[in-house]
This record gives sequence, structure tokens and C-alpha cells, in this order.
Amino acid sequence: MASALIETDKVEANATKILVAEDDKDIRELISFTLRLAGYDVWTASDGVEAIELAQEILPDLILMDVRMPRMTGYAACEIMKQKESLQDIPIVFLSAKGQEAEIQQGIDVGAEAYILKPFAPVELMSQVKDLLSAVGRE
Amino acid sequence: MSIEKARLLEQTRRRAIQLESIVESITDAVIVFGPEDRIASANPAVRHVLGLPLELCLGVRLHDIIAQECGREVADRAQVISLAFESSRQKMQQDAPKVKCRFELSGQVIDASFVLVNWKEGQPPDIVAIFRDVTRQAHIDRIKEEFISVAAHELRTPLTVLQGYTELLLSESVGKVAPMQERFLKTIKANLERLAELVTNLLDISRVEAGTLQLNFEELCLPNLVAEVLPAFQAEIEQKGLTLVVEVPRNLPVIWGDQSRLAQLLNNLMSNACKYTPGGGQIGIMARQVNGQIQVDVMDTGVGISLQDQEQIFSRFFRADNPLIREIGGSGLGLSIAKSIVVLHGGEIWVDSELGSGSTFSFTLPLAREGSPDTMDPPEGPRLS
Repeated sequence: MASALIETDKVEANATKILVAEDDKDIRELISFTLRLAGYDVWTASDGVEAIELAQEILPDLILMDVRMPRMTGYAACEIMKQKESLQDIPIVFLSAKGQEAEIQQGIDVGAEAYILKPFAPVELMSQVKDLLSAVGRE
Repeated sequence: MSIEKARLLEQTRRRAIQLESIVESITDAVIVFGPEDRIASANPAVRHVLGLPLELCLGVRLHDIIAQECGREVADRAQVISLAFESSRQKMQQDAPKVKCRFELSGQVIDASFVLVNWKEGQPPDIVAIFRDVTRQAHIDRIKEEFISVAAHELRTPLTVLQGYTELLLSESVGKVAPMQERFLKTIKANLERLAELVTNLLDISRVEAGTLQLNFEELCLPNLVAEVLPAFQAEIEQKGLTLVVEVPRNLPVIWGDQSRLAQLLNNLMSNACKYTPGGGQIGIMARQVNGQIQVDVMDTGVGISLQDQEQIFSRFFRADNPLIREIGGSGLGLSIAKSIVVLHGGEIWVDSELGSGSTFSFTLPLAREGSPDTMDPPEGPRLS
């Protein structure tokens, strides 16, 4: 079973940048592959600390973040990002399991734009990301 | 005094002493607030439940205890209790004389109930307050909820991966798919969907069991809710040639409920109606105002439920012992969850059915009222079954 990141064709130079912060390797790759298929430039981080560092480096147009991650939770990372001038305007979307209403509300409270529920169909992910990006004018 | 009167007096005296001993020995704190909110009586439990010395309480108001020089600790406690009392009193109405609330008191968690009691005609009613220390229970509930949250996350992670990659394979994003491969992949996909639904149902049931199912109440328009739920059944209805009847008038009054849970409830009932009705049958959803509440009926002309099975139909994991039902498949959790949702909304759910003719599942929901609370008070008493 291949464990290397699935590569797709090179994306265009001015493609929209998306940062995906997710600790589970398989979900991380699933999301990356799906979004690259849709033509986005995808960067990945495996925890909150890495997510903040990478965000400052690449300044993505959208950040998809899992709620539960080691070292620093999605909320904590979101709160920190909203306090940094360079990052505070980047829309953050949480990935949460269905039925976790309390978690979802907490996410909105710390400044997340929206949330995507797991499990999701790849095609749903693509369309939700597309809608979110155009809603914030970054398409 | 006649002997009769003397005897009656003695009887009454004994009875009073008996009742007083009973109240004295109750482990929950019992306080009776009389005229001007003065504490007319309090039992010894106020000390260990609320941290208020009994001697300080009698004949005074909570405000007075706060003002008195009896230490920061006691004053703070009296303050918190006073706030709970005031906010509960505001919620009291003629038709809802009992109000419950939960509050934190110096690290403890207290469940309180306040009841209006009319002793004498022409006099303003007293308020009887009962306070119970539920710190340990609240702690256990928190642990349970955390466990369920972790389980939800852990179960959904592999499901997400499995469903995602299956979908990508089926969409031919990584290469063409031969017919047999497609068939196998579709089977995998269908079963993953079943698994996902089962996980959701199990988590919901766990939450109901743990008493931690949170509802977010708001004003809702039932016709809109129904309109959102119906499209998901379009395909199945067409495929089975079912007739759909919808009688949900637009002018129904606004209801008070949790949108996602009510959508789940409607989904549950509609799904059953579709599932258990053979091709060419009829399913329908009707709503009307009955006795100050909204009643919703979901009917079908399907397999029906025997009188015997009707008694257990809302129990967890119950599936009718009917070969037709067994063949169709289902987890047996849907109606149990549906009932829990209805009960948490303060409504009732019941079924009217005849084996072989069809079923009508009905439930009631409260109307939105002025001054309705934002969130539900904690569910009371024994677990919902």
C-alpha cells in the first residue's frame, strides 16, 4: 500500500492556496488529493503548532483545520491566528464530527468562519470549499 | 374543650411533628420562602448542601444574609442562591408553577426546584425551594460526554477515509473503473453509509443515555423544516412509485425547538414511512394545531405494526418480529432516538397502526411563547428509556 503523498499534476502559479491542518495522515492525504484535483495549491500541517508556522510562511487563502489535534488543538491554533495581524483575515474552517454541536459552537466563538462535518464526500468538500472561498471573495 | 376537639387537636399536633421530622431528615435542603421573601422555614440540610448556617436563615431574607457580617463565604453563597431564586421566580407563571435550574455554588453543582404553593386563599403564595447537591453526578456526566466525543471522533476518522477514497475511486479520478469493480465499489459505499448511520445513531443514544444530549432551542417555522427534509426522499419516492401527501399549512404558529434535532426526527419518521411501504403505496406528512400545541402526523400505507409490537416500538434496538420488516433492515435505534427528541422538547409521541394496512406516527411540539428559555433546563429524574 503506497504511503507516499499522492501527487497530481502541477497546479497553476496563481492557484488559490489552502492550508490543511489534520493529524490523521490518511484524512490529510484524502483532503489534499481532493483539493488538488479541484485545482487548489494545497499545503499540509499535522498539528496546531505546525499550522501556525506554515500559515505565517505561505499566507494561505483558506485554512481547513481539524478540531482535535496533538500538541495544540484546532481552537487554540485558531485563537492564536486571529490575534496575529498577518493571519487574522484568513478564513478558518473547522473539520468536526457530526453531532458535536458544542465543539462546533466553540469553533465559531473563537472566530472560525464555518465548519465541515465528517464524514464528507470528496465532491461535497470541493463544493463547500468553493462556496466558502467565493463568499469571502478569494476565489 | 370537648373530648372530640381535644383528640383532633392531639392528632393534628402529632401529624405536624411527624411532617416536621420528615422534612428535617431529608438530605436535600428545603427552604420555604414566605411573605416578603422571608425564610419561613429551612431544614438542617441547608448547612451541608448550601453552606448556610441554619440559625442565620430563619425569618430573614437572602438579601439580609448577604448584608450581615457573617463572613465572605456565606455572603457569596447567599448571593448565588439569591440570583437563582430571582431568575427562577421570573420564569414562574400560573400554568407553570414549578421552575427548575442548575447553578454552581463554590465548586459544587446544585440542582434546584422552586414551586409556588398556595396555603391560604387571599394570601400571596409561598415558594418552596428544594436544593440538591449533584456535583458528583455532574462530574460523571462530564466524563461520559468526553468519552462520547472522543468515540465520535475516533469512529468517524476511518469512516471519512473509507468513504472518501471509495468515492474518489468510483468517480474515476485515479483511473477507469471496470463494471465489476464499479459494482463492488458501490456495495462498499452503500455499506459504509449504513455504518456511518449506525455510528451516528449509537452516539445519539449514548448521549441520551448519559443525559448529555444538548438541545439548542429557537423559534422555528415547521413548514420550512418539512420543506428542507423532503427533498432527500424524492429519489426513493419516485423509484418506488409512492404518492406523497403534504398537508403542512404555511400559517402554522411558530414552534419552539432545536432545528437539527427536529430535522433528524422528521427524517427518521419519513425514512421509516418510505422504507416500510411497498411500491405504489402512499406516504404523507400533516401538521395542525391541537390544544395549544402543534401535532405532526407521518403516515404510510405500508406493512403496519401489530398491537403487540406497538407496545415496544419505541424501545432501543427493537425491531418487529415480522419477516417483511427483517428483510428491509435497520438498526432499531431510529424510533428510540425519535422518542427521546420529542420528550426533550416536552412533547409526546405515539403510533396508530394496523398490521397490513399502514401506520401513522404522531408527535406534539410546544409553541414558541414569549419569555421562553434559551436553553433547556437539565433533564429531570430517571433516564429516558
